[in-house]
Amino acid sequence: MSELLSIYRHALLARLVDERLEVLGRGGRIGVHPDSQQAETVIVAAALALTENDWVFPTARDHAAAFVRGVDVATYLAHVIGGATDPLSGHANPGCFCSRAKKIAPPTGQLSQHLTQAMGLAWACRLRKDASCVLALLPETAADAGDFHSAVNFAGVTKAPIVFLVRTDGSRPERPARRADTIGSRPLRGRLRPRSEAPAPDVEVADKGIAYGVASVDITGDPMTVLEAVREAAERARRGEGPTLLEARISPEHDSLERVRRQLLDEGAFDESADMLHRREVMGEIEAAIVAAIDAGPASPDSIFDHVHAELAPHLIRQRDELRAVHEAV
Amino acid sequence: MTQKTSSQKNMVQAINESLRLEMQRDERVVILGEDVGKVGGVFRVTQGLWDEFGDERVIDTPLNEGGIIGAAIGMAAYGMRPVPEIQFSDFIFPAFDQIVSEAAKFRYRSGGEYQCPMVIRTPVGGGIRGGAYHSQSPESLFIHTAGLKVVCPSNPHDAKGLLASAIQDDDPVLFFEPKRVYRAVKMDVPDEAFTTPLGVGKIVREGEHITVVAWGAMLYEALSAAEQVAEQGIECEVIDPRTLWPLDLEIITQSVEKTGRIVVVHEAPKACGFGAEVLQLVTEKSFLHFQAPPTRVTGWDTPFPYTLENDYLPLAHRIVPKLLEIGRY
Repeated sequence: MSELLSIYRHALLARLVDERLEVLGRGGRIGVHPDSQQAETVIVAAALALTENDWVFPTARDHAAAFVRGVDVATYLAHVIGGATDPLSGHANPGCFCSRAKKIAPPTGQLSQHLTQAMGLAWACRLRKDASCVLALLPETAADAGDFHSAVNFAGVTKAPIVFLVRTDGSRPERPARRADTIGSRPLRGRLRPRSEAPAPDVEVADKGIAYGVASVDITGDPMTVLEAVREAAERARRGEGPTLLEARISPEHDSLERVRRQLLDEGAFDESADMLHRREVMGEIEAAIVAAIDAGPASPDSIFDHVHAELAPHLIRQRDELRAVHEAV
Repeated sequence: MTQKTSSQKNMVQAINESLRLEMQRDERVVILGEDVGKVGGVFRVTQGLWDEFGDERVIDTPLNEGGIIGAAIGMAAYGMRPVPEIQFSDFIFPAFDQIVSEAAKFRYRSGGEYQCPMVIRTPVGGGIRGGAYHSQSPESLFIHTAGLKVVCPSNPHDAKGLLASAIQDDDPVLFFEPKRVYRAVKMDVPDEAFTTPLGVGKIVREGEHITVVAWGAMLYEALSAAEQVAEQGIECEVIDPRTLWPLDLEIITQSVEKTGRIVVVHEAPKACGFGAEVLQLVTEKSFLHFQAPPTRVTGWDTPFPYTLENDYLPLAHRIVPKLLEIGRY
């Protein structure tokens, strides 16, 4: 499969999951499932740039990355339904999926708190001489929060092998192109922000990495561009050349998923009817997974007390027994 | 067979030794914090460790508590055993979000996929003329947050053993070190590594009339008060819970069912202080044994004052009248 086709397939799955879960959410069948805000192709492209030894710190909107890392849609939807088959015991909000085996960290229910954690894990890789790297995903708004600055500051100091990928609104007026420069040992593609040039008053996210000594690049939201930029930044990180802050400017005027689909149609990767059949097949899988997750029934009330600590503490045994008594009385 | 040795140590030395032994035992253990490396920490608790283990295991960080704890969570998720130091528990609040919203819930919200084994060491309590930002006792804020364990040793021996247990524990532990005790108490402590189990309290003084629960620096005030009221025929049973959460409730209720009276002493303010929780748990279990109202002697519901700390702290002179009142009730 070509990389573009792989991007399309995973992104389409994420989109179709979002559409179905939005309906379920409106109907009150599940809590709110944060959707990908039409950034699926960027999320997928970034995840595809990693090797399986690398780690991802997603936000609650980045389930597309989990699909890339081999999480099947049935497992993901069992998590969203939160019943007896939820691998996370019904403890995580929809979207806050994780898997240690797949090196997907637990997304925070807040916005930027995962970034220092991602930096810490990357730092651990470096300290343990593990040539893996970490990809941390974030939306534009998270780059205003303190944890973003803490994470980028620490990353700059420790040279942790981490790639921060922030997706921003690409519709803002372009600033004049700047001269290319290098931070780190070799030039990066894209418009590299030179240290010497002070950020303009309309500070852009990529500007924020410079003061912390982090290579900062802004790129377009074109998925192949993102894939190449993340791949390059990840390679730098693994080589011990330090962190990178990538700002992918996503154009809101064009749905990237539709654009990729058109491109693949033009290339003859599939025709309209094959695409339609594929969609139907995926929708069928989604529906079957939802039905299976609902049919599995609710999680056991006892599971409320699971995983507070490694072992059930005495006070939690007492409280579990209290809840059991309530159920027995009913 | 090597001869088992022991020596006189204060709490700073005992904690330092425990850190050293744990770092020798398990190479996943790393220390990080502000000035913990070259300088050896603001109270010199980590002194010498940087020389022995190098800057990749005893790590000086930027002055950014939220960053320190967030980073430690990531290290723990990877499989390391970080032991971050926060210079004073008063400075823990920039990291409060990472501790209560993230570390405490990491295992839970990942359905056990991830764990967060880390020990957050931080000096606690007043009595050093530290004022509002170097004296507070925020333990109940962390006990209230499900997912955390909270430890507060009162002496060098317990500090060494409890810290080793905390580092070996698979969950996040807040390790509050009573700074007033740091160099004030010396005792015989084994030189070799040993553990003192979490969640197990200790009867420090036996008595039949009043159960007194106190921890950290206030244990010594409670013991002093107990000696003073003993002269008037009131014998206190003084219990050091050592681990505040999960609490060894059994050791307290067993005592209360013997004495019928309980007084909890703590430095933190009274309202929603841990004393309230201890008393309520005992009340639910042992109500019919009470011969006097369950009572607290605590810090006042004010910020920690700079100059009047001897009036703020529940020192022996404030505990004695309460013990007399409850003993004669």
